[in-house]
Amino acid sequence: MTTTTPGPVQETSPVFVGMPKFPTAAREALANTQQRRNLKHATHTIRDKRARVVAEVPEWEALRVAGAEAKDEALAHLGDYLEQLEASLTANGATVHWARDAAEANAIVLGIVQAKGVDEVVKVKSMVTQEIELNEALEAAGVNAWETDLAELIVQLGHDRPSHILVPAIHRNRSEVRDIFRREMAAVGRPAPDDLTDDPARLAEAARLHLREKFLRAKVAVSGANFAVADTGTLVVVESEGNGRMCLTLPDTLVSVVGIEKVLPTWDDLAPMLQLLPRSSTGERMNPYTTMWSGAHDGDGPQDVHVVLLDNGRSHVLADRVGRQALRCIRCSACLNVCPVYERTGGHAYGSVYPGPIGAVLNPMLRGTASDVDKSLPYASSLCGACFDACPVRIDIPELLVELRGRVVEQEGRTAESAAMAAAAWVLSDPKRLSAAQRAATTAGRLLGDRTIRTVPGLGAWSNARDVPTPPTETFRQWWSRERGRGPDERPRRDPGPRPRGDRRRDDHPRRPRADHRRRGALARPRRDPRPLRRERRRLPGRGSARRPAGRRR
Amino acid sequence: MLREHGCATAVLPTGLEAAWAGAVAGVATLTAEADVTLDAELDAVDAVVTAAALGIATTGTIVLDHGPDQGRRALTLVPDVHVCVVRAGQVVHDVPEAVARLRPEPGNARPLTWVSGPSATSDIELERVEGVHGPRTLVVVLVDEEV
Repeated sequence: MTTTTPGPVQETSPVFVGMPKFPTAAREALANTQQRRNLKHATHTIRDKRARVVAEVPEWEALRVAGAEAKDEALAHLGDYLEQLEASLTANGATVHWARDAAEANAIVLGIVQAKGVDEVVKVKSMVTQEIELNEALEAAGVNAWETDLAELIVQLGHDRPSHILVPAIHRNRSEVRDIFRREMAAVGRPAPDDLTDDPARLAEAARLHLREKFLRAKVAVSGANFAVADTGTLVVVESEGNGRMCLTLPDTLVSVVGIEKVLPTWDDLAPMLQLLPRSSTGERMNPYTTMWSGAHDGDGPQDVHVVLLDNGRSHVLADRVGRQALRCIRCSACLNVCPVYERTGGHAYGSVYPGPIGAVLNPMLRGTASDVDKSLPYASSLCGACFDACPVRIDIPELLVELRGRVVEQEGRTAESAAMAAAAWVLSDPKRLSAAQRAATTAGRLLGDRTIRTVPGLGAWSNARDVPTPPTETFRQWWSRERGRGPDERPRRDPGPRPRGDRRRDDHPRRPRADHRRRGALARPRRDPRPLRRERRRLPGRGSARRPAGRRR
Repeated sequence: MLREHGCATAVLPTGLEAAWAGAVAGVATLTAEADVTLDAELDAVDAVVTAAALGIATTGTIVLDHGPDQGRRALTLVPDVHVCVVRAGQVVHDVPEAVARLRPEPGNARPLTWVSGPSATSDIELERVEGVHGPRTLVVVLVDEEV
């Protein structure tokens, strides 16, 4: 269960190297009240919209199962489906490239761009090109990569980092956006109008004008893909603004960087996916624009079509029997919007382009758990389970978080905590040791008197918000023997409840009449109802019941 | 519709039904698809009138497969007004039905554009703004007619 998996992990990109661990970064984010207000508004609004449109679909659970099964099928035979995808794309006139890691992928894209002799590309919002830091790689080679999604444009012009998968500039408010546009647009193209206000409609209009000249001029576009259909060789981009359509249609050359987990076995798998994704992501029945292209289409759109299939740590995750379900992720961001931790800290504290609950599992699996931030991410959760309920492809994020915590603990080896636990086990496994320890504690209790223990050296964070209970001046056994007049070993027979292992000695002569007499005395006192409270095992709704609908293929 | 949106010029796909083209000719100066080869020229045209491949009832979606009566993709993207005529017989119930009908033919795949409303963004403080990059006005005319 806790074996480390083979396969290369993803290198942490330069932007995030040396990120502090999550609690440190989160503390900084928590102090930013403006950001917290923005985040709360955003997450709650999208959360409510999502809940409404999901409630409209009575077969939602069956759709989730179908979505998860399509992805699982693709992942179980990933090599085969990738080869099929390559064959159908090639048959459709596209050129397929394979990239092991970020450096290879960036080199391939740069090679294509340089072969075209251009110094700029327009980009569709894409998580995977952020993951490999393609923009930085292109810029280093003198190629400008223009982000065309409004939020990504705000982030890029503001020399900033995205903080949410779906709405990356959610940490900025309208007047900040206006200031960024006024200050930065002129240096990179059409300037913002002089009379620009902070009205979102005016800001969007400024972006339209600024970007239109770039769309009409650009010779090369770079995109990602939401889905890659193996049997038809079709790529799918789901979007709202139309910047995607512009990039995917107008330039002569299109390069799409696609993570290998994006593959879907068949065309029909789009049916559940196109219902799950928009409702989960933006809370819409359907997003405004979806573009599907199958290679190059004669006389319509880019004629030189490239697809870069990227691993970058994904086969490492695939080799992990528990963790591979994270590769089902369709980047909808529903888990972010329902997460009580994300809602307060925002995306930057996660030290990756993948924030929120899915980031807390994906990053440590893609990158390994060597760095401070990756080690701390599995703990960036209260394990409330809301992310699992919201996930359209049923990724059991809480299970993965617990699994990863286990791995981090094992990797850390001997710590003060594990030493303390070992010592406690040694004491608790023997009644004599326990009894000695309890007597020692009563001594401490008598010395302390009424005083409260407020801090414990070495347990600073834990005891910040907690007082340690003062040890009693007398143990229960001492009290019993004082009140009932027998040795500390004495215990009435037929006492309900389990017996400590070390007490078996008295069972050798269980029918001693004196004990019976004693017991009646004990029963003379009023007793509480001895029936133990039955505790229902609580389960999360829908959890652990991945029943497949009858007749589902495969 | 075109008059209402102040469109003086319109571009029409090659295979648009002649009757519809005639109706548009009454209100706007027409340009044929073949005459606008540059995207910049297309940017100067006010509107585009096309047919559709199908419509989806539950999600309010029209799907273009860019056949002769819809034109290449740029045609329905660059002009600011898109009037799309859908025949009632082309409307399917839901997404799975649409996906089943749209499966690309091997060797003769068409690009598909699914449109569910005008271009929109909620990127600034989550306030919805309609009309960013695609046509800012989308008019769908549903015709009571079988295919």
